Amino acid sequence: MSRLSFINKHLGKYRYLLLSIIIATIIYAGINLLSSLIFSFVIDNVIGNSAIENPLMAFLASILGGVDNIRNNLWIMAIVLVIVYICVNLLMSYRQRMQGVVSEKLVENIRNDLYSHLQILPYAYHVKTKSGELIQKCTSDVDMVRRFFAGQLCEIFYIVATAIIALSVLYSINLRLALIASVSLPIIFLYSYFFFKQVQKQFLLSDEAEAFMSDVIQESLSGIRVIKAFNREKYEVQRFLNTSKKYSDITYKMIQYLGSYWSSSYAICLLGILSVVVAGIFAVRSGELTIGNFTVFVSYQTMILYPIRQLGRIMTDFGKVTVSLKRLVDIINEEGEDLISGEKPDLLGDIEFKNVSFSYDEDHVDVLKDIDLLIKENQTVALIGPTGSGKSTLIYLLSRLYEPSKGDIYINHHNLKDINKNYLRENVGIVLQEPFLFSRTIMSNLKISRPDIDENEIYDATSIAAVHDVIKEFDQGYDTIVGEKGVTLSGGQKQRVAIARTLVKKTPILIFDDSLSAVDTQTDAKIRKSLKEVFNKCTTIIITQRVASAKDCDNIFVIEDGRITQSGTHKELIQKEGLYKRINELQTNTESEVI
Amino acid sequence: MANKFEEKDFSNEGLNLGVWKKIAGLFKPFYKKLAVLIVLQIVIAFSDVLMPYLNKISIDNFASGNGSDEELMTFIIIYLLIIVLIGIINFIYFRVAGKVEMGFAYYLREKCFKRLQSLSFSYYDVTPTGWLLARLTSDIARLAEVLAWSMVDLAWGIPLMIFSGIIMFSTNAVLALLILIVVPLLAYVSYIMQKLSLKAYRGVRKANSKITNSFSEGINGARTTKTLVLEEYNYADFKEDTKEMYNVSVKAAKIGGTFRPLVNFISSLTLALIIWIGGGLANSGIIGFGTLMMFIQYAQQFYEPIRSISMIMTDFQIAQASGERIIYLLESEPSINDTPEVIAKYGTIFEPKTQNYEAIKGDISFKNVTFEYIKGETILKDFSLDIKSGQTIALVGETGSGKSTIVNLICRFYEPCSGELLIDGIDYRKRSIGWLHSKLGYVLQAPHLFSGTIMDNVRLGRLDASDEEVYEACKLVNAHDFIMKFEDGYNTDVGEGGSRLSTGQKQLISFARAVLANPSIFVLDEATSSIDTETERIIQFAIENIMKDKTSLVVAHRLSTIVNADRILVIQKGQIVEDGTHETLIALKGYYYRLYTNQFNEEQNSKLMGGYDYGL
Repeated sequence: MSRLSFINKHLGKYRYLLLSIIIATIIYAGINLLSSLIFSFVIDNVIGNSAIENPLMAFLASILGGVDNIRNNLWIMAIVLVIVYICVNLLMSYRQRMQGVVSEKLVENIRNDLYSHLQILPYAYHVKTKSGELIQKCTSDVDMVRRFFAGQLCEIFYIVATAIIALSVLYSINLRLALIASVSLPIIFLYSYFFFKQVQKQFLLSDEAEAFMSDVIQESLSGIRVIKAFNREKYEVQRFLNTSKKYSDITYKMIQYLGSYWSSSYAICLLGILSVVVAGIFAVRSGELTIGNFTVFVSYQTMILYPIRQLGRIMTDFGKVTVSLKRLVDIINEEGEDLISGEKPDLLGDIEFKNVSFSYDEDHVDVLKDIDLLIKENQTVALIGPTGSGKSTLIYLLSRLYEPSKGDIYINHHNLKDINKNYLRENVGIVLQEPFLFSRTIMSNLKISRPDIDENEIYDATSIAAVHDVIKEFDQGYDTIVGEKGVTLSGGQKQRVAIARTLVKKTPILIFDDSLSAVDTQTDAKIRKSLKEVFNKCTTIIITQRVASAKDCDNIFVIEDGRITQSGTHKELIQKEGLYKRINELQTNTESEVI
Repeated sequence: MANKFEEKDFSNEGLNLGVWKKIAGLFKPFYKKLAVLIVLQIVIAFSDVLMPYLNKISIDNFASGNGSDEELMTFIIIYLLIIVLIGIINFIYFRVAGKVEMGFAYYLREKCFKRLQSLSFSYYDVTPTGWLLARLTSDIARLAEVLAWSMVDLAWGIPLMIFSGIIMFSTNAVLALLILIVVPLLAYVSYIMQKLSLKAYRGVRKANSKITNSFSEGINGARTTKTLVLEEYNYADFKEDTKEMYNVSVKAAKIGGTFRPLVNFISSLTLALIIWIGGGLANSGIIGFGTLMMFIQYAQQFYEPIRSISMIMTDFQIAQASGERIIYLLESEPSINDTPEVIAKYGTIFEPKTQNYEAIKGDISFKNVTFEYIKGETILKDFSLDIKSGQTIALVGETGSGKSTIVNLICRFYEPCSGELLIDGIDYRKRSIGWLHSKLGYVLQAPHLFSGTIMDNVRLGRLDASDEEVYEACKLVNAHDFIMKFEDGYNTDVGEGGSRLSTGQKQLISFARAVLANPSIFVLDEATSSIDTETERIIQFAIENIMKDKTSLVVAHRLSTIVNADRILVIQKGQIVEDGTHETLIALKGYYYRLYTNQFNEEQNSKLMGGYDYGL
C-alpha cells in the first residue's frame, strides 16, 4: 500500500468533508483580505473622495447607494465590516471544527487498523521488533499525521491562497510596488525552509539525548535495590548528571539556533515591510499611489510575510509527516497471520512430530533438528533439558506461533498446516513461563478467554492453581487491578493466575512451559496434587527443569541442543547413562540423604 | 506482598499559593536571569507598540507630502535601527530564556534524582517506577518551560497594553475608549474558553494515555494474546478506547472552533466602530489618515495580550500540577536516616568520610526486634538471634514467614520498629548506612544488570577494581569461561536489563559483582528456579567460594545450599521454630524433616491410591 492510498483508505467518506474544508479555507482567505480593501476604500474614496479604481469596491459603492450616501452614513460601512467579519469567523469556525472531525476520524481508523493488524502479525515479528519502538510508532507517528490533518494541511492552502489573492490585488494596484513587495517572499520562505531542515538534526540529537537520559533514570529506578546494596548512590548520581548535562547542553544549543532563526527572520520580515513602506511613501509623494492603497500594501505585506515564513516550517514538517506515514504503512504492509481459514477437526488424539526442524531464519543454525515425537492421547509427558535447548520452541510450533522449516506436525492425524489457527490455539492451552497479565482486574484476566464463564468455574481453577486464597487476601479480592496502576503481583503469583486462566479454557491439550519456576517447592507440590485430576482428562506437556516434576510422567523426552537425546519413563531413564541420570543424581542426592 | 500505590490527587483547579511559594524558592538561583528576561520583554513590548506608530508617521508626515527628504531619511534610518535592535534583543532573549529553561530543569532533576537515591526501600515498594520517571522527565520539563517562557510573556503583554494605551489616549481619547470598551467582554469570553479547553485537554490526555497503554499491552502481550486467542476481544476493547478518544478530541476541537472565532469576532467589532466613528473624525478633518490607520492596527494588536494571558493562565495551571508532583517527590522523606552525629562522623552517601569506616568482623545480633511493613501487620515480634562471624546461615520457611525480612533488616533496607540490631556489638544505627552497605555483598533473587558491558556490570561491585581483579572475580564464580565465549568477551553489551544473557548468566555476573566488592557480610536471596541443573551446580560452586570465611545469610531454596550451611534456621510466622545443622534438624523430625521428605511421602501416597501420579 502506498502512503496516499493509506490516507485515502482511512479517510473513507470523510475525504469529501476534507475537500469542503479546503474550499472553505480558500474562501476564508479571500474574504479575510477584503477588510483591508474596505479600509482603503473608506480612506481613499469615501473620505478622500477620489475616483474608485477597484471594480469590486465600485460595485460595493453602487449597491450601498453611492459614495456620497456612504460618507453621510458611515455606519453603513461598519455594518458591511461586521458582515465580513461574521462570514470570516463562521468560515474559520467551520474549518476548525471540521478539521477536528476529519483528523480525529482519520487517526481513529488508523489506530484501529494498526492495532488489529499488530494483533495478527506473526509471533516472529513481535520477537524481532523492539516493543518500545513499535509503541513509539503507534503513538508519536500517528500523532504526527493527526497534527498535519488537524491544521497544517489547510494552513498550506490558506497561506498559498492568501499570497496569490493578495499579490494579484497588489499587482492590479501598482506593478512596480508589487514587485518590491514580492521580493522578500521567496527569501523568507527559503530561509525558513532550509533552516528547519538543518535544525532537524539538532532536534533529533536532543530527542536522543532525552531518551538516553530517561533510560538512565528508568534503569536506576528499577535497579535501585542493587544500587543501595552496593552503596553506589553517588556513582549513580554522577552517571545521571552526565546524561542530564548532555541533554541540557544539546537542547540549549537547539534553542540558540531557534533563537537566531526567530530573531533574524523577524528582522527580515520587518525589512520586507520597511521596503514597501519606503517605496510606498515615494509612490504616494509622486502621486502614483493613493494613501488608501498605500495602507493596502502595508497591511497585505504584513498579512503575507509571516504566514509565508510559517509555510517554510510547515513544509519541513511535511517532510517529517511523510517519514512517519512511511513507518506506519510499513507496519500495515507486513503480512499478518491467517487466523481464520483452515479445517476445524476433532483435536482429541495423538500428537506427532515427524522429522521436524526449525530455524529462526534461513541461514541460521537449526534450533530444533529432526524431531520425531509421539504423544498419545491423554498422556502426560515431560520435556526436560538445559536452558536454550529448544524446549519452548517445540511447543511454540505446536500452537503454530512458529512454523517448522522442515517436517510436519500432526494432531489426531490432521496436519497442523491445514488447521485453522484460531481453532488450534483455542484447543491448545499454554501457560507461559513469564505470563503477561493485562492491567485490569484479576477477575477479568481470568475471564478473558471465556467472558461468559460461571464464576464458580473460576474459583475452581484458582483453587487448583493455589492462588484463590492469595487473591481473597487482597483488599478488593478478585476485583483487584493488577499492574502498575494497582497491585504488583510476584512472579509466582502471576504464574499461578496464568495457570488458572488457562485451566478455565478446558482445552484437550494443556502445556506448561516451565510455568511453576517462580513458585516455591511447597506450593509447587500443592498445585501438582490438585492438577492430577485435570491431567487425567487431557493430553499434557510439561516443560520443566525439576526431576520431581517429570518423574511421574508417562514419557519423558530429554532435549539437548535441539535434539531429542533420550526418551522413556523415569525408571528407564535413570538406568541409562545420559543427561537425565546426571540431573536426577544432582537433584535427588541430597534428598536421599534426608530420607 | 501486595502493595498498592495510591497517587495523591493533583488535579487541583484553583491557584495554590503554597505550591508557587515553594516553586519560587526552588527558582531562586535564576532570579537574576529572570530579571533580565523581564527587562528584555518590556523593551520588546515597547518596540511592538512603536511599529504602528512609525507607520502612522510614514502616512501622516511623509506620504501626505509634508515631511522633507532629509526628515524622511532620518525616519528610514531610525526605522532600520529599530529593526536591528529588535533582532538583537530577540536573539539575546532566546539565549537567556533557553538558559533559564535548561538550567532550571537540570537543577531540579539533580535535586530530584539525589532525593530518589536516598529514599528507602519502603518508598520503592509502593511507588511505581513509571510514575517517578514521569516526574523527572515530563513534569520537570513542563515546569521549566512555563517558568522560562510563558511567565515572562506576562512581562510583554502588560507593558504592551500600557504603552499602546498611552499612545492611543494621547492621540485620540474617543477612539482609544472604543478600543477599551470590549476589553472586559473579551477577557471574560477568553477566560471561559480557557477553562473549557483546559477541561477538554485533560479529557484528551486521559484518553490518549489509555490508548498508549492499550498499544503497549497489545504489543508486549502479543504472545499471550495469540496463545489465548484474544485478538478479537482485545480489538473490541481497543475500539472503545479510540472511540472515546475521537469523542473527547472532537469536543475539544469544537470548543476551540467556537470560542476562537468568537473572540476574533468580538475584537473585530472594534474595527467596525473605528471605521464608523474614526472615519467620521477623519472626514471632518479632526484626525489624519495615518492616525486612523494607526488605530486600526492598535485595535488588532491591543487584544493580543488578553488572548495570550488567558493561555498563560492555562499553562500555569498545568505547571502547577507538575510543580505539586515534583514538590511531593522532593518532600518525600527517607524512612531510614542517619542521625546528625552519625553524619558528622561518617558523612552522607554522597559525601562519605570513608577514612572513618571501621572494618566489620561479622557478628550480628537481633535484640528483641519487632518489625512491621504495614502498621498492624507484625512480621517479627520480639525477635532475637545471634549470628557468629564467618558462619553461613540458611533461612528456610514458607513465603511470608519473615525470612526475607530478617535479611532486609540486616542490610538496613528497613530498620527495626523496636529493639535493636547489633553488628559487632554496636547498634548499627550508630554507624552510617553507607558504612554498612560498603561492606555488604548482596545478590538478589532476580539478578539485575544495568545496560552497558559485562565489565561495567561486574565493576559496579568496586569501582576502582582493575581489569585483572574483575577477571579474578569472574573466574572465582565460574563466569569467566562463558564470558570469554562471547565475541567481545568482557566488552559484550548485555542489552537492556541484561536481555542478551540467560538468567543463569545474569546470576553469575551478579555473583561476580558481589565477589569483587569483597564484602564482610554476604547476603543471598536465592532464586527459586529458572536455572537448569547444570548451571545450578556451577552456581552452587560459586556460592561456596564466595561464602568462605564470611558471615553469610542465604534465603535458601536449593537443597544443596541448605545442607551445606553451618546453621539452618526454620522460620515460621516470624519465629525461629527450628535451629541447628542439617543432621540435628533431621534428627528432630520436625518441620525441616517434613519439608524435605514431602516429596517422598507424596510418592508413597499415590502408590497406595493406585493409578498414575502426574507430577508437575
